[in-house]
Amino acid sequence: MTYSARRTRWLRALTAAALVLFVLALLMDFLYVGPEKEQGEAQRIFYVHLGSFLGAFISFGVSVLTGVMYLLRRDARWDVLSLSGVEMGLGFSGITILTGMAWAKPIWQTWWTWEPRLTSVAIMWLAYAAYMMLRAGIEDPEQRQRFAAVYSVLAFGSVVFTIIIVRVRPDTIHPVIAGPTQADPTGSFEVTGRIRDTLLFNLFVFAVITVALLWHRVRLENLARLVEQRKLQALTGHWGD
Amino acid sequence: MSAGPRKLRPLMPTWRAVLAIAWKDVRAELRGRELVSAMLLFTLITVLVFSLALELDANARRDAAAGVLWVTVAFAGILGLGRSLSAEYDRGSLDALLLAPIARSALFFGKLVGNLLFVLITALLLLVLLSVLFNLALVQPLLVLVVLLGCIGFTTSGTLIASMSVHARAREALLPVLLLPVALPVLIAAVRASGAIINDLPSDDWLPWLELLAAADVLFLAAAVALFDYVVEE
Amino acid sequence: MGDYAEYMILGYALMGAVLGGMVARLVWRWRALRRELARIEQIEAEERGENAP
Repeated sequence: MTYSARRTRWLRALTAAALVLFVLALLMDFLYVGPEKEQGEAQRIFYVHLGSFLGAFISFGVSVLTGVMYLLRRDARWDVLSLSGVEMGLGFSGITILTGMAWAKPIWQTWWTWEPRLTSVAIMWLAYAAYMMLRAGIEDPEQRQRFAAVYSVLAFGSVVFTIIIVRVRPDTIHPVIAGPTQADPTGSFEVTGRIRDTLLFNLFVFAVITVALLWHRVRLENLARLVEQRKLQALTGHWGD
Repeated sequence: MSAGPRKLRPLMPTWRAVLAIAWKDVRAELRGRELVSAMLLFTLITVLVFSLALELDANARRDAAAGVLWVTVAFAGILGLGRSLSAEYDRGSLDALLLAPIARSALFFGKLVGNLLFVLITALLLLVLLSVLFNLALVQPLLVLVVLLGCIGFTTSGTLIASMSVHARAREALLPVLLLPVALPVLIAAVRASGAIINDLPSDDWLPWLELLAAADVLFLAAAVALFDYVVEE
Repeated sequence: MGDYAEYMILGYALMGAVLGGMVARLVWRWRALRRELARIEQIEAEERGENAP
């Protein structure tokens, strides 16, 4: 497996940019924007909470689009991208859930509450964990890729559900940032001025980090499949023919 | 002699193929496959365990009934779906059905109708059982409608996912893990709608859930028809 | 330090741990695969050497 030197240079540049941007975003979260008047320091969690959800959304979006592409084209490269999307999405949505809990404890007085949005995001995480179980359970590679692609489409339903649920059930206490809602959320605040600047910058930075991590994950998977193939060749004693 | 290109057409109209496959499952059941009886016995035991574990008074029973109903339907359904598909897989009869000159979607709907019938029988008998044991008037048209819609959504996603999970190692363990997160939106909507109806709440409290349930059914059916071809191809 | 600073630190620490874990896993798996590939190539080279006339 050889990648063109130019693409590798691009990946290195992107990785370096992601690192620098991440440090800048942290500086902005802590220094540029002040503590919110009611929620104090805890409000700063919101920037990475939303940023990581964007990362999860991008990753899962990539996984469903490439899953459909795999079903249409049957090219294993689409499957690599789909798997990478799910793995990175699990990580990012894990961050969303954990940072949300750290925020909810002081603001809602509880780590976790069974309200629509928290429930649906937990379901989303479980659906993608199940995707990994499905992959692990199927032996035949072609069948594994095909089933995984089918399941990636089904699992994306839970992402859509997470996003629309606060529109269907406006009795959520979870604050809604974008779009209209009749909800009476607990822990809302105005997204204006420096808070808005910081939020937008964090969203941009998390998008860059997501793309960089996805790219690295794809390269890792390609290497893993190459090693698998070479091992098989070595075991059966056929090489070079 | 017919001129022009001859298209390979299924020999049997789709709806007849669907009915034939569903009827095959019903006959297998009548001959003693004992799938429905296993589901019913499981249902009975589950309800008994629930009432023992929860030790409910009248008000608590009213509040818990919707949850008990759908948890039991979900697990009994998983039991039935797993058996129904793995029976086909183990006998190799799924491959034989795939060779039959019928559309793939007919095969899916055939299995779906059969499974739905079994799940519905279980769910409706469960309604009667809960009415008796929990002393509630559960057999009412609105609740039967919710049960019907909930079972359609659950069985549609279940039939699709069970046709994948039968190929896996540890398929009995994998089916609930794969199915529950996908079917949970349907189950949540069904629980909320049933709960509101059992508590005689105004229609504002259950109509949105009923609409969500109907929308989810349509989406699941469309997704399952589109995806089933990719699941069964060999 | 303002109000709820401990929860803010907890939140950022959790984020750092998960993000760091994701990166560490990528690096760790990459290195392990590289090592494995090198070993396979070494074994192949040895066998070729033995089979050579």
